[in-house]
Amino acid sequence: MLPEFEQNAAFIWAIFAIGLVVPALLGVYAGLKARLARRRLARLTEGDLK
Amino acid sequence: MNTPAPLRAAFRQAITEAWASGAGALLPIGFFAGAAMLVPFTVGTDAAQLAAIGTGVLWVALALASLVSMERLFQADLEDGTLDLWAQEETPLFLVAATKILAHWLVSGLPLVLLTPLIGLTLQLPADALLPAMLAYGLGGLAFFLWGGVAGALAASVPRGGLLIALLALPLFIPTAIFGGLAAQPDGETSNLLFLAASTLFALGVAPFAASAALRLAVD
Amino acid sequence: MISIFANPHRFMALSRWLAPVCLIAGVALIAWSVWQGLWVVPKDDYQGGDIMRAMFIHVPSAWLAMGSYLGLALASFVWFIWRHELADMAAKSIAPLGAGYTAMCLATGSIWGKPTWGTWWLWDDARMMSVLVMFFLFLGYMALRAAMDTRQKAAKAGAILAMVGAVNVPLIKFSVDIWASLHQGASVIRMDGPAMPAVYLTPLLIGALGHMIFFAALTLTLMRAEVWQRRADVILARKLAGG
Repeated sequence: MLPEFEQNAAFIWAIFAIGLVVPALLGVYAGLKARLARRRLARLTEGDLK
Repeated sequence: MNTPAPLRAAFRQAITEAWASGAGALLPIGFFAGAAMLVPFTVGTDAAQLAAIGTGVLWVALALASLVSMERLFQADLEDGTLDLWAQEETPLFLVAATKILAHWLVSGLPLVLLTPLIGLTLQLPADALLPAMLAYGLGGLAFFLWGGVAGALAASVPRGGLLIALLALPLFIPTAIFGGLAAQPDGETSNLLFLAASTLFALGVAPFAASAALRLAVD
Repeated sequence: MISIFANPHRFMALSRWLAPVCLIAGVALIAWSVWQGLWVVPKDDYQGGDIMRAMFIHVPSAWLAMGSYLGLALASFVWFIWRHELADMAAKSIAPLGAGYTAMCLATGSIWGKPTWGTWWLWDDARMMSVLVMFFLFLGYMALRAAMDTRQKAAKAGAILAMVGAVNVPLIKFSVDIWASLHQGASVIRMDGPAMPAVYLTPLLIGALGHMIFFAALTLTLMRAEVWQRRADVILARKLAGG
């Protein structure tokens, strides 16, 4: 169950939403970047290294 | 003691470049006056209101106008190879950079400062406060040019780097804007002018070295 | 320590397991502090009631914003002096993450400010202004790097800018402090007050630690991506050269 706040509930939820969405987006960004870079390297080294 | 040749060359070049491409040195002046002229249209012509924001408007216009010509400050030297020669000279590059920035301030920045009383009058500022305020605008403008020079040197090898220069330089303008804004007010305290002078000195101590490091990178 | 990180092969071997471990640990700690902040800790009426729960998000993001700029400046300095390529990769990786955390700090602070100070934005608050300046410094850093046509130039220009910004941040902070004292600042919640009860302090510190570890995990991940990218570039250049 979600907690209930006496006042400013919308503000609190907005802050926690931002606090979770921004790090999550940064995580997705870093993960995507790493995956793309790795795939590109794998394509280039195909047959050479593996 | 003779002035080293690269310093004289940099000085001369900054002066001549100001007039080289059309009315180069007039552009910042036109920008400065034009930006200040828009203000009464946007905030209204109420004399008391204009007088209250007048000194601040002049600071903003000065900060923006000092960025107008920064794009070409070192770019031209990079393109015609002058920068390569300077980088190989015995004279330290930071002195050359400082000379060029100061000479550029002399032709493009000082006219703006001389113009502030005139534009201040049209913004309903009290006449007796305008002349002392020129000292503040002069000191602040020098700091704007120094930090702008660092940004200009960093972006020297970037084509169409004007907006990049603004993005890099504007955060560095903040201390000058704060102390300048306080010092230029009609009832300003002297301590603010001293703080402004100190932040300009700080810029004078840091900016030439940063600019010369940035110029070396453009030459590499 | 530095020599371990200076060697890309050892770095890749180390970060291969360190990045996921940090990611999991960071997420776990953040989740615990959010759970504590939203469900467990009692509201504090001295700090404006329930809204003080915002500190479990806002304060770590503020510390991370400052810490990441410090990290950017340090990595730039290390690259500038010793030319360790990994230091440049670290600086390049920190910038977008730091910009994200700085934006998060500004957004949450502004939302917190509305019910407590009655306004979304306060120009008088020195901390707010410093974070805003750092946000612009991060943006400028990324824009400058992106504008350079070679990697070496991007690294050098970025390092110079990061160091110029780092020597300016104290001056900016000082000037805004003076300015704010003249403007009769609003009553500000003091996070650094002497006695914060442990029931708040523990989740706050754990949350901050979690965000730090999470940030480190993302930095390592982006650095790994950069190492792969550079390897791919080298291979591509060799192939184009016909080697």
